[in-house]
Amino acid sequence: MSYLLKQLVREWRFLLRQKYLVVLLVCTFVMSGFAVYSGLSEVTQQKQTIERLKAADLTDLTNVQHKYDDAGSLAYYSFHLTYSSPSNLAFAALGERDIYPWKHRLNLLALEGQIYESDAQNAELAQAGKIDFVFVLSALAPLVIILLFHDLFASERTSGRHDLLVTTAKSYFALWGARITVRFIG
Amino acid sequence: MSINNFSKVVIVAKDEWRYWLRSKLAMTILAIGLVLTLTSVIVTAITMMELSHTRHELQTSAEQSFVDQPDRHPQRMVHYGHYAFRTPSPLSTLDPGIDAYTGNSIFLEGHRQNSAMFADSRQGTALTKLGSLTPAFIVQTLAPLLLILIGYSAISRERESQTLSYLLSQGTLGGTLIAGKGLALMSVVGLILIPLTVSALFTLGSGEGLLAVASFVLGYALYLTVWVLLVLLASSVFSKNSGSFTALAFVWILLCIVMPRVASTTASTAVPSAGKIETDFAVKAELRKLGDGHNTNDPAFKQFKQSLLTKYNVSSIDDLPVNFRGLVASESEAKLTSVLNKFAQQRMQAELNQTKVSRYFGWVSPMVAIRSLSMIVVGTSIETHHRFLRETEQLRFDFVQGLNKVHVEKLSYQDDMNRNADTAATQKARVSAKNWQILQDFTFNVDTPEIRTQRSIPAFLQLLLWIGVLLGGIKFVGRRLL
Repeated sequence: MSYLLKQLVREWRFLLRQKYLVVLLVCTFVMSGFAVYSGLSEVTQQKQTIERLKAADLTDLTNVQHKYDDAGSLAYYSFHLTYSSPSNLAFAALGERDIYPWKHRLNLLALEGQIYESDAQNAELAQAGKIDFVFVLSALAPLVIILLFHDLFASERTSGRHDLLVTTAKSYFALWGARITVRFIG
Repeated sequence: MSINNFSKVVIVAKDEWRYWLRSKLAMTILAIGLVLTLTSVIVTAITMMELSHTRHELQTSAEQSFVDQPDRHPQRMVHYGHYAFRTPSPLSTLDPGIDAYTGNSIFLEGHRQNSAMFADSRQGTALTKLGSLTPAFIVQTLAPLLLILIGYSAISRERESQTLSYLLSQGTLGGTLIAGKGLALMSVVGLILIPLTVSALFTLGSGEGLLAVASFVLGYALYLTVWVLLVLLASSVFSKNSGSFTALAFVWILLCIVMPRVASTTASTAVPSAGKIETDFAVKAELRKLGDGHNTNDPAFKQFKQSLLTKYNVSSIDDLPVNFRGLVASESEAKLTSVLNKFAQQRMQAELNQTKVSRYFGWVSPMVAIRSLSMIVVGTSIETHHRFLRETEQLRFDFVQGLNKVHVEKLSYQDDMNRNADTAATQKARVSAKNWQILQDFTFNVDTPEIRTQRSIPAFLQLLLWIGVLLGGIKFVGRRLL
C-alpha cells in the first residue's frame, strides 16, 4: 500500500512541477466553476421572470374581467400565460432555451395572428452560444484530457528516458499506472 | 533592418518551408485547411444566394398579392397586412452572422408591431449548435488551430534538437530567427486568406462597397497575425515541443471556444433584458390610455373631435367634408405607433447594451474581437437587424396611414356608418382596388460601408492592441532565446 502511495506522490510532484499543467488544471477548474455559477444564476433569473410574469398576468386578467362582460370580448381580450419552468438540473444543461421561447401568452381567439409573436432573446448572444456545465463536460473535457495525456509515453521517449524507465520500474503499473491515475484525477 | 539581415530572415523562412514540405503532417494540415476554406466558401455562397433569391421573390409576391386584392373597405386592408423580408447583404456569403438566429420575415399590420419570425436556427437540429461550416467559422476557429499545428515547434524544435545554440553562435540574432519563422507562418496566413479575399472581391460585383471588403480582409489578416505572434511567442518561451503544443492548444480552447461563450453568458447575466412578453404589459397599460381607434365614441377622442369641428367650422361630424372614422383611425394609429416605437427603441437599446458588454471581451480574446468585427463589417450584426426592424416599422406605418388617408378621402362618412345595414350598403362602403397601389416596393439594404467600418473601429483597436502586446513580448523573449 505504502509502495503504491509512494508512486502516486512521486507522480503528483512531477505533475505539479510542470507549471503549464498546473495552469491548465486551474483554468479548467475556473471554467467549470463559471459554467455552474452562470447556469445557477440563469435559472434563478428565469424563475424570477416567471414569478413576475405570473403576477402581471393575474393583474391583467382581473382588469379585463372587470372591463368586459360578454363572452366574445372576454375571450378576445384575456390572455393566458404559458411557460416551461426550468427543471432542477437545468443549471447544468441550459439547453436551447435561448433560441426557443419558453414563455408565451395565448389568446383564445384570433389564433392565426399569434404565430407572428415570439419572445426572442438577443440574437447576437444566441449566436455565440452559452457556456453550461454540459458544454464543459462534452466539448472541453475531452480536449483537456487529450492535452494531459497526449505525451504520456512520447515525452519520455523524446527525452531518451523511456527504455531506462521501463527496465528499472518494478512493474508496468508502478510507473505508468501511477502517472495515468494522477493525470486522470487531475 | 539592414538588407543583409532581411535576407537572413528570408533564408530562415525558406528553410521552414523546406521543413514543412518534407514533413507529411504540415502538408496534410495545409491541404485540409485549404480544402475546408474553399468548400465552405462555395457552400455558404450558394446557400446565401439561394436565401437572398427566395426572399426577394417572396417580397415581390407579397407586394403583388396585396395590390391584387379586390375592392374593399380600407380598414379591412389595414388588417389584411403585408410581409417584409430581410434580404442578406452581399458579403454575408462569407459570414452569415446572426442571419439564422433572427427572424427574417415580419408580418406588418395595423395597430401592432409583430416580431420578426421564422429563424432558421429554430428549424435546425441540435447539431448545428456547434456552428455551421461557414468561411467565417473556418478562419476564426479552425485557421488558428492550423497555424498552431504547423508552427508550435518552430523555435522549440530547434531548441529540443540542440540546433538553436549552433544557429545563435553563428551570429544569427534571436530576433532574426523569430522573424524568419514568422515570415514563413505569415505566408501560410496569406494562403488561407486567398480564397476569402477572392470571394470577398466577387461581392463587389453585387454592389458591396470597396471599403467594407477592404476592412473585412484586413480584419482577418490582423486576426491571423495575432495567432502567428502567439504561436511564435509560445514556441520561443517553452523549452519543449510538448510544452509549447499543450500551452497553445489550451490557449486556443480558451480564446476560441470558451471566451465567446463566457462573453455572451456574462452579458446576458450582467445586463438582463426583459423579454417581449414582459415589456408588453407596460405597453398595454400605456395603450389603454390612448383609446380604441375603431370606436369613434371613445372619450379619448373627444378633444380631437372638437378641434376638427372648429377647424372645418361645422356643427356636427356628419357635415365634415372628410370621413371622421378615417381621421380617428389615422390619429390613433399615429399615437399608438409613437408609444410602440418608444418601447421598441428601449428594447433595442437594452439589446445593444448587452451586445456591448459581450464585445468588451474582445480585449481579452482576439476571437471575440474578430467575430464582432466581421459581423459588423459584413452587415449581419445586431445593428443591422435593428435597422431592419426600424425600416419595416416605417413601411408598416406608411402603408397603414396611406390606407387611412384613402379611408378619409375616398369613402363618405354616411356610407361608412351604414356599412352594416344590408349587402348593398356593404358594397357601397368599399373603395376601388386601384388604391392598393400606395404600397411602396420594399428592399432591405444594410448600412453604408462607411458606417459599418466606423462601427468596427473598436474591434480593430482590440486586434491592434493584441498585436502590439505580443510584439513587445516576442522582442523581450527574442533577446534571451537561449
